Formats: sequence, C-alpha cells, structure tokens
Amino acid sequence: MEQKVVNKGIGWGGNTLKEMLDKKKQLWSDTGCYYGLQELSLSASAPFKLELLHARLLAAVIAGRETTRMISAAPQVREVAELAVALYTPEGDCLLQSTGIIIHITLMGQVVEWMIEQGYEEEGINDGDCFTSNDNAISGLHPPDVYDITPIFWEGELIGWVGTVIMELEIGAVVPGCMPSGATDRFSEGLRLSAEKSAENDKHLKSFERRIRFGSRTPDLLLLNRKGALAANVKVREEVKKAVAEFGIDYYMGATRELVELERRAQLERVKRRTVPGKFHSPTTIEVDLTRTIAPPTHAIGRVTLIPCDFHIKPDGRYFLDFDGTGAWGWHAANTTPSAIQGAVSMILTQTIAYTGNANQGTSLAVDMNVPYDSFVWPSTPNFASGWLFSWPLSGGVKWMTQQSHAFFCRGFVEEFRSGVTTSSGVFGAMTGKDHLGNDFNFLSTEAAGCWGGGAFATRDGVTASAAFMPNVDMGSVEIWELMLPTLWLGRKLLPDSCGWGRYRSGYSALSTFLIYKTPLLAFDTSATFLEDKIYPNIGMFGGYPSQGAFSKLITNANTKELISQEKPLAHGMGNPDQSDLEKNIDGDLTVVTRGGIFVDSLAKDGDVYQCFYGAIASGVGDPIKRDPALARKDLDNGLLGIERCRSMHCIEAKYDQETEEWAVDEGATAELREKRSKERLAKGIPAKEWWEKRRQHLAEGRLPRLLKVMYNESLTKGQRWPGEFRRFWNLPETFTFKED
Amino acid sequence: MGDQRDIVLIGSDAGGTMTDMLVVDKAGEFIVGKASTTPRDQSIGFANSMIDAAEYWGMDWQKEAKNYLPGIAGIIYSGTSMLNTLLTRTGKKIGIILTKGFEDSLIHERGIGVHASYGYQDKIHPVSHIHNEPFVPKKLIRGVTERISMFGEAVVPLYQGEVREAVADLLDRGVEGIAVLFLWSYLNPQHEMMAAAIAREIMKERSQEVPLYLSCEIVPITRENSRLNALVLQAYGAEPAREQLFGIERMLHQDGYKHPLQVALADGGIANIRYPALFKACFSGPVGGILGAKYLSQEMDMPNLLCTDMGGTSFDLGLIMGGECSILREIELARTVLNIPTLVMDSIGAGCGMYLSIDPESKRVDIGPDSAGADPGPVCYMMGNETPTVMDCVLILGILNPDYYLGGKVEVDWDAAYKAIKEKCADPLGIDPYDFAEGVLDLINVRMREHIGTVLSVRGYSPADYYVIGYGGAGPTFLAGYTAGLPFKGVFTVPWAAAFSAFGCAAADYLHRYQKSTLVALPPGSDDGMKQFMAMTVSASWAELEEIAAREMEEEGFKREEISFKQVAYVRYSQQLEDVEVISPLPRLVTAQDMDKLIEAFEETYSRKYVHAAMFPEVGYQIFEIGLLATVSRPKPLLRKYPLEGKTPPGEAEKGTRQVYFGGEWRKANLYEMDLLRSGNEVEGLAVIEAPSTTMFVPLGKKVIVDEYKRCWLKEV
Repeated sequence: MEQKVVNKGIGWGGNTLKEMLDKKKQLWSDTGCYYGLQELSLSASAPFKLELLHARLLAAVIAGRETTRMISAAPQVREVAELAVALYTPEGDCLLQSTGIIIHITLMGQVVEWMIEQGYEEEGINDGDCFTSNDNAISGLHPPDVYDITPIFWEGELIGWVGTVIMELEIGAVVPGCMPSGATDRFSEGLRLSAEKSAENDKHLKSFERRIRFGSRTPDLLLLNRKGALAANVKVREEVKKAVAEFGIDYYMGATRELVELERRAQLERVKRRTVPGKFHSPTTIEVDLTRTIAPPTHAIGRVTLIPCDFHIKPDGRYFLDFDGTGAWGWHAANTTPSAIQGAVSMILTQTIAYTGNANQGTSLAVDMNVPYDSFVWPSTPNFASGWLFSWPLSGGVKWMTQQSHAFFCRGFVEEFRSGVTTSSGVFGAMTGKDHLGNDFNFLSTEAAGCWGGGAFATRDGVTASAAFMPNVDMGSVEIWELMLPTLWLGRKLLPDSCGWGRYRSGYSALSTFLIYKTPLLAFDTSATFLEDKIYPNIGMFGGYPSQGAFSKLITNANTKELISQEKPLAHGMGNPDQSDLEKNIDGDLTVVTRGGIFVDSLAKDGDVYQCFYGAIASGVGDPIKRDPALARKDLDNGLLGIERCRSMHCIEAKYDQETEEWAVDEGATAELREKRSKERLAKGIPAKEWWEKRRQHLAEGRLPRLLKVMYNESLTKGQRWPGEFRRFWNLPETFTFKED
Repeated sequence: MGDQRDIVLIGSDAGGTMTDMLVVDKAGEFIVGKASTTPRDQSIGFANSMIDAAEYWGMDWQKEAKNYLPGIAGIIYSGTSMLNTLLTRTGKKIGIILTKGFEDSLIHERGIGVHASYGYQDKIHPVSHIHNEPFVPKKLIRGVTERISMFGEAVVPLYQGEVREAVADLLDRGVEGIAVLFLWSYLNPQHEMMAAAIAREIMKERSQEVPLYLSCEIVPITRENSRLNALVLQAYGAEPAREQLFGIERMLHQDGYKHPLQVALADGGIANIRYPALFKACFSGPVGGILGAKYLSQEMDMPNLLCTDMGGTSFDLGLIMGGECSILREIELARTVLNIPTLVMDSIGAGCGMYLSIDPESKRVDIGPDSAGADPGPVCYMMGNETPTVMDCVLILGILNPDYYLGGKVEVDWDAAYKAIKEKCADPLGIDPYDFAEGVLDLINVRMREHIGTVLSVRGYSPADYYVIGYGGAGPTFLAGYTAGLPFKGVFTVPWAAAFSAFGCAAADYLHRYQKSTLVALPPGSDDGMKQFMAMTVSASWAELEEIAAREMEEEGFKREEISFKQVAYVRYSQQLEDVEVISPLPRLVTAQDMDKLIEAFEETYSRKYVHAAMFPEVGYQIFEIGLLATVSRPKPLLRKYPLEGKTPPGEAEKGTRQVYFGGEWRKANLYEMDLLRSGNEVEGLAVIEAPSTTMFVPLGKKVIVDEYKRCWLKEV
C-alpha cells in the first residue's frame, strides 16, 4: 500500500490527485509500464481473483448503460443507442467500458485529467458531485457529445470516476441542431459546459438546470438525458463501492492498475501475433467549403487540407502514427485535436483487434503518436469550431483501420480483413421550424447512424448497417421517429447500385423519403458535414471501388395532395435513376443538395417531399469482374443491383425471367464479357515507371487545381519529415513548392 | 401394471436437446422424464419422455396410456416448437403486403439485425456482424401506397387498386398466406382491414383461399420492423409448428385424452393449440420456469421471487414481483428483434457447456462465449470435443458423480476431462488443474451473481426483498456459488429442478393478454377536467378489451364469471420513448383523483426502477398503450406437504463419501440421494446431493434443510 499522508489530498492514500497524476506519468516515463508495474504480482499470484473483480466492474458499466437507455427521452439514445458508460482510475485512465459510442471512452478520461491539472481539487470535489462537459477545447469530439462524470469516493478518498456520454441533438448553437452549418468558432457553436459542476449529493444543481433551460432549444430532452446519465453514474459508483468493500481498497487499487498494464501487454502481443511490422502510408484529405454558409466573409472560404498520416507497426508490437506534414487549421468546424485522434485510435483498436471485453487505457498506451501543434490536427487556439471535430477520426481514422486490415491480411488473418466506411458528405437531416404538434422545433435525425453501408470484407460482402464510431448500429423505428418529427416516411429503402463495387461489394446504404406533415415551416440544414465531396480517402481495396456519396432532394410547392386525391403515384425510393420517381411523379420546385455544410435554400411545408440518401463512402474489395455470379444474381433478385451495372461493373450477363421473377446468369456471355474486359485493361495499361513520370511532370509543372496547390504548399511548409519524403519520391527539387496562381 | 396412480396433469418442455416431462398425480407426487427432442416429429420425443417418466412409477406407458389419459385434466406443451421450421427453412410460402417504400425491411433489418442478440464481444467486433437470410424473398413482398400518421390520421388513403394488384400477383405466385403490415396500424387498423377485405374479395372471385395475417390483429405493438419480424414468424412458421402440435394431440386423443392440447405462450399465458397467434409459443420453453416459480410464489407466500435457470449455454433470470411477472414487448432473440410479448428474462452466456481457454495474447482466462452444447458436448462425453468446458471442471473437482450422470445413463470420462483442463488451460497459466477448475467455477459464479445484481439494481430492487429459486440442469450445482454474499430472504431448489419448466407449464393459469393503443396525454398543469377526460378514455379502452376478452374466452368454453381481469397501463413521462408497465390500482378510472392514483402508481414504480433523481414530472405524462390480463384458473399440481421428520437423513438416502476439491484442498464430502431425503432432514456441507437429472452442491459453511414441501433451502451453518 502507498504511504498514507493525513489531511492532505482527496486522492487515495491522502495524496492529491495532481500528485497521483504526476507520479503515474513519471513512472510511465521511467519504466514504460503503466504505473511502473514491471511485475504483475496480483494477476500472477491469483489470476482468478483479478478476473472476478473485472467481471463485477464490467457488469456495473453495462448495467449503467441500460439504466440510461431506459430513462432517456431521446431517440438517439433509446433507439439508436448513442451513449456509452465507462469506469476510470483517479487519474482518468479508462478501466473498462460498455458498448455504444466508444470513441468517447478515452476522451472522458482526458476531461478528468484536465480537471486535475486545473486544480479542481482545490475548488472542491465531493462524493455525490457530477461534472458535465462538452467543451472540445478540453477534450471531446464535438459539442453534442455531453459527458457527465462522477467521482467515486471510498472512506473519504477519491478512488475513481465513472463517466457517461450521450449525444444530444440540439445544443443551442447559432443555427438549430447539434452540428450547425456555418459555425466557424466556438462562440457560434452553442452551449458550452466546460467540465462544470452540475450536481451535488446526486441531485442536479438548480443553477445548472437553469443553464440548460436557457441554453438549448430542446431543454427538456437535454435535462432528461442528464438525469439518465446521473442515474447510470450513481449505479456504477455504488457497485464499485460494493466491490471495494469485498476485495479491499488496497487490492482494488492494485488490481485496477494491473488490469491496465495487462491490457497494454496483451495489445502488444496481439499486434505481434496478428500483423507484420512495417510502414503504411495513410494520407487523407479533408474538404471544407464555407462559401455558401452564413460564415463571415473572412471565414467563408473553400479549402482542402492534407493529413499525411504514416502508420508504423514496430517489431515490439507498438503502433506509431505520424501526422507530420499536416496542413493548417482554420476557422471551420472540421479541425481535429490530439484528444479526438486518441479517441479514434482507442475506438478503432477496440473493434478491430482488442474486442475481448478487456479494452482499456492499456490498449491505447501501446500506441505512440506525433501530432504537430498549430496544424489541422492541433489548432493553436481554444476558440476553434469543433462541430465536425471527428473529421480525421471518421475519414483518416477509418483509412488507418483499413491499413491495419492489410497487416492482418498479410499475416493470414483473412477473415479479420475489413475495408472501412467513412461518413460521407453527410446530408444529415437537421431540421428547424414548427413541428406537427405546433411547437417550435429543432432536431437532428440520426437514423443515418444505422444505415450506412459497411465496407466489404476479404471473404464476403459488407453489411447494410455500419458506423465507424459505434459498432452496434441501429436505425431506429419509423414509428418512434415519427413521434418526434413533422415528417411521414414514404419509404426507407436501400439505394440500388450505391455500393462500393468489388469482388465483394460494400453494403448498400439507405434512402429515406419523407412527406412533410402538419407543419407550415420547415428548414433543412445539411449540418457541418463536408469532408469528402470530391476526394475519397476510402478508395477501395485490392481493385475494389468506393461507394456512392450522399445527396438529398427537396420538392417544395409539391402537388402531393392533388396526387393523393387522385390516387396517383408518389415517390418512395429512387425508381429509375435516370429520372427518379421523385422528379417523375411529383410536380414542384426541386432543390438537389450534394454536399453538406449548408442550409437548403427552400423552406418546406405540409405536403412537400424531402429525400435523403445516407450514403457513406464504403469500399469494395477485390476486382469487380471476379465477383461470383451467384452473389450478383442475389443482388439482382433483391432489386439492389441493376442489370446495366451488373454488366458494366461485374461483366456478368443475366436475363430476367418474368414467370419466376428471378434472374438467370448467362455463363457463356459472362465469360466472354470478362475476357473482353481483361484484354481492354491490358491494352490500356502502362508501365508504372511511365505513369510515375507523367504524374511527376504534372506536379513539376504545377498542373493542379489551385486548392490542391495551396494544400500541398501548407504541408510542404509545415512538415518536418514529410516534405523531404514527398520531394524525394517525385524527384522534385529540395526546396520545391507549388506556385499559387 | 405399475403403481395405481391418479395422474391429473402433464407438463412438457421440448428444449433444443431434451424433452422434459413432468407428470403429476392427484396426491401431488411428481415424476420427471427425459428423452431426446425429435425436431422433425416432436410427438416421438414427447412419447419417449413420457415413457421414461412412467418407468419411475413402474408403468409401461406404451401399454397403459389408455388407462390414464382419459382421466387427465390437462396436458401442456412448451418449447422451441418453431425452431426446426426456421432452421430448416421449411415454413410456408408467404407473401407480404407492406406500406410502400418499406419493401427492403427484411433485408436491411433496421441495421440492428446484424448484431441482434449477440454478446458483448461480438457486438463490438463488426467482423462478426452479418445479416439474417430473410424467410420471405423480396419477390414476394409488395408495397402499396398508404400512410397513417401518429395521430391515426389516414394522410395518404389506401390505394385500393394497388392492393388488388398485389393480392392477385401474390396469389399468382402461389403463396400459401398473405401477411399485411402498414405503419401505425396498431393505432388505426383501418387500412389493414380494408386490404384484408379486398384480399378476401379477390380470393372469392378466384375461388382460392389462403390465410391472411394482419399485424393489427396478431401483433398490435409499436416498432414496425420488430412487428414485421413477429408477423413473418407467425405466417411462415406457425402453421408447420401447429401441425407438429396437432400430431401430439392426435396421438394423445387416440389413447383417450379428452381435452385439447394446450401450449405455453412467451407472455406467460396458456392457450389451446388452435390459438391464432401461435408465434407467441415459438420460444416458450424458458418461460415455463418463470410460470412454475410464479405458482410457488403464490402458493407458498413468497411474493418476490427471483428465478434462476442455469443450463448448458445460458443463465436466465426472471422476476416475480408481488406474485406477478413483467412483460417485455420487444425482444432480441435468435439474432432478430421481435415484437413478442415475453415475460421479462435477462440472460447471459454462462452455462455448464461453455468452452474454456487461455487467451494466448493476454494470458487471461476466457469462458465462452460458445458452448459445446449436447453435441459434441464436454470433453468428458467423449464425443470428439477436446476443448475443456465448465462441466469438465465440475467433474474433475469431484462434485459430479461420473457413475451417476443422468442417473447413470450417460457415461463420462474423468481422465479425458482432467487431461484437457491440464494441457489446454492449467499448464499455460502455470497453475494446478484443480485450482484452475475451482477458479473457473468461482468466475462463472461471480458472473452470474453480478448478472443477478445488475438485473435487480437496474430496476431498483434489493436482494433482501427476494427469495431465489435455482433450477435447470446445472442450477442446483451452482446455486450456492451464484447466490453467495447476496442477502436474499432465502435460497432454495426443488427435487424436480431439472424439469422445472415442464412443471411451470403444468402450473400455469389459462391467461390471455390484450393490448390496445391509446393517445392519452397529461401535459404539465393539466386541470381536473382534463384528467377526468383522460381517465374516462383509459377506462373506455379497458371496457372494450374486457368485452373482447370475455367473448374470446367464452368461445373457448369458459364462463364469463370464471374470468378475472387485471387492468394495465403503460405510462411514461412526456417525450420518453420507454414506458413503464403499471398495474392499475383501480379497475376503472372515473375521476381526476383516480387518474392521480394511476400516476402515483407509475411514479412509485418508476422511482423504484431507476433512481429518484430521474423523475421528471415537470414535463407531464403520456399513455400510448393500455393492457388487460384475463385469467381463468386451471387445475394445478398439488404442492404436497410432508410431515417433518428428524434432522438426520435416513440411512437409505446416504450414499457414502467422495473426495471433493474445495477451497484449494481435497476434502471428504458426504453424498446423498435427493429423492430419498425426508422433510425435516438437514445436510451440512461439504456434501453433494445427487438426483438422476441434477446435482446439488453444498459447500462448506452451508447446509441444506428440506422443508415440508421438500424444498431444499440453502442456509448458513
């Protein structure tokens, strides 16, 4: 046991939390082991005792999550399960976690660490307190993700924390919703809770409730979710106390540290067993276009930023992510931060390699990073906007995950190979106006979280439901969403031909069609989601292709009432893509939106029709012309694959039998098509050296769009290692930069 | 000719592996039979299990069934009757008519279908996620234009021409049934009823008839995708399952049984096998145990009873509160989300058949999540499995008698179990195989104990208010372990624990549940006038349901005065998506004060279920659904009382001693035969009480007291 100092800090053994944090860091620095644990005496002497404790604590966080789900009023919690609960050490290191939006697990711990560094202890941290935070300048992914964090005391000493995260759908920003278009700094992003005390004695403070009451357009939802989170935290805290009573505080503290160190070592071992050492280039570009938003002219710009992430797998099992060469941060909502990247790393490891149920801080400790300050991945001001702070996590991070898949594949773990799915240019359905009950209304529909087509596997097709930030997806029920929204679903269908093509295709994404209902006024905001309109980071694997990006369509002044009275066709899905049902069947004023980050110009009202394709960029795996015709036939039969695409992408000829309503593959014609395609490819192919020379010529002569030249110049200027590598690869002069027009 | 017995009831539970039979005579004596389940023709497994049971009373059932069946008052079946139909995909060819635009629902599965009913590890590991193959191909799904809103308003009227076209088209395709589901039909069934009328008209014109399945009649519950899955289950799988049940009934009738065969429903009801919504019976087996516990709870004055069922693959919990069970209306089962009203059961993967391994990377012990099941079974079965299981640990520790497994009918190999545990697990960890085996039991016990704690705490209940019954094949073996340290009122098992689900079926009332959607809102500050209006709205709905219930049950042969009703409301704070089932304190709400009493009951339940801080009366209340329980009492097994005898078990019950590894050392354990213990006997640990189909372990520091009902209570020494 550590030496007890009487009447000093509130931490274990009478230490201050700051002392504990400093000691932990020092021991890590000195030994490379968590809390300096070079010997794991508790697990070695009594392995089952440790497992017994772990089982109890895991059960507690799972129970906490269920409690919140039951209490919450918000469909994204009850229906889509956008929440998670985790347990932490006094220093803010994660011990274990529930399912849910696990990207936040590490980040909540960083809030604790920040509180310690800020000296909260001196201001007072007491049993029964709760601290609430959604401030990304401290830690987090974006303002809608609200963290409620409760300390756990044992005999007057703080022995840990429990945190619950819930995604909110309205956060009181400059425009309604939770990821406001046009927000360019923190002051336009709404309610900021900077790790502030929200409850004492397990009861919310009136002052906090008033803050919420006047800080959001949907305060009841926000408050009810806080109550759900608090209830979960209290339950977990009490369970932890019971465990401490049974195992003893000395054992608990020692065991929790060993659990982290055990997991760190396990993670290194997993990497050594399942991957091959080496280096993967994993560059990502992030597109930001604020030229059509409400942003002030100084911020209303369009730009593309390069994040040239290099991923090293070291022979000792450590990962190293190097962001050297990343471009500049800007006054837009898509910057990212070191903490957001750490959250993404933890999230991706948990669902790809550390899915045993034991993932904790130790998993992340096996990863080192170089994140350059004063860049897109680490803005040099706390005032940056953060609505889409998970830009790299959900684009570059997913690409990194795919690179990790390569490493599994190389080692023979073929079944573990999965290509990624990034959230696309979004087109989330954020809405504002009046609802069907006559109330003022602001909402962001997150049904998309359960209907992004997932990336293909190396041995099978992707599924039609996948989200990188939350593995246990659910689109929710229309009959529940319609309680909240002034819209009636006319359809929720998969969009044919929207997959990423390949020998194994990605999953199809969904297209929802809505009849605007009982509202005189509804505005649509596609949210601060504007990353991959033109350049896809997730480009396909082993010859596969990326899938189709998102879009939405709105018909205002629609003649639906007339059509309905005459029993004429409406629109329920895409129909014929050349002239969609929406355009063919419904008269009115059509607006097509193919990018995020904007308000749709037209205002909708009762009877109008809105259609939203929740396309995410998921990639296929393998050469599409090697696809098993039986798989293509199944897609044809299910109406997901059109015959034209079947021919052009897969070189498969099939005929439809009206009688059986089934497709039959013409094997002879298929073989011919495939042979012809192979010959065409060979005829078009050029040696790699020749291709390289042509591309080099383009670069040397500056034959690039201006946006890209600016992008490269930022990276060439800011980078330390990357510029040299770039110039050497393309054989460019040592001081080469692009001349901007 | 065996014993002269006056058999009055038979309960059966056809599980995935074994069919259990519980036979009850007028004096309240039970016998338990077991035989392999025969999925293709379940009447064979049913008959074999009955033959096995009858042997214990010295009867040759094949010859003597005719002497007994005419006098039996009830035979109830529960089990996984539809599972074989689903696994072999041999259900009916069904067509579906849906709200247009929702034709992809079975392919997309709301997203959740790719991981529904997975455990923790598979849920967070997307490589495990995969879609279910739909039971109805897309070509047999037709969308028709219509839309009803959350207010029940027909915003888009039913395009009747499209219905005609769809019905004719599906009939042309040779469908054997048509299922119809429109959004919000449970609130306003008008469009589904119209579609049914059109379908009947067309069938009449074509002189062709197939059954129609309307979601508003069969599954009037919110969440369209779960409703569709349940409806498909009914349309696709119910009739083949019903055929199986008719096969059993025919067999019984041939030998003189006079009544209809009855079936247990997942919601705790019992129904004639001709009951239309037979899908509710598709996974009723586990519910049987809760029904049995409910009966004991009511008969033995244990209003709060926790049911714990440990089998080969899972550990299931059910809660009886105040003699009643709660209902869940959407469940994850067999990798699907379904609207099957089901007695609340919380399950985790913790069973005796679970595999054990050492994670090569973390060097930590893994239990499960997969189970060896009955085939290949644990290593000791010698059927080809080389990976040790929990049961192998129980065996090598000396708890399980290798010569008396399933009454000696199944041979088990101790050496093979020991070798596998040593080589695969203990040696890599560097510990003694017996320490490993005992550690596994500790760990699985703690997982189960935590599961119990979670189930109680999430609902705000305390163990101190509950009795616990342990059953299932492995329940009595682990009962002391998984209840240790929790301050329950009492912990017990019964000699018929291994067939407790079958017992539950025999002990259940004839019960039907009814529900109806309603739109009752009490905004903050509602005055008495508003409350009274809403009270009357609720009461009118209850009256309507009571009328339907009485009519249906009269048609089933019951008299109106035999039926008793319980009124239920599903209440939530405004804007919440999850409601709370509240048994109404009054049979009718007439005044504003009556409505207040219902709200008080809701808040009392709510604050107990969650925490006080979660209450939110400021936003008002909503009731979107009300329900009714209609019950008719049935003959039940008599719970016989035996005179209390001395503490010392009779000599015939003693089976000698065996070395058992406990607390890190080998110790002598006394052995007893459970059936021969007498009321009043006490058995102090370390002891093993053996029965043909289960083994009760009594650790050091514990004792078992057999009471007048032959309940075996675990007590501190």
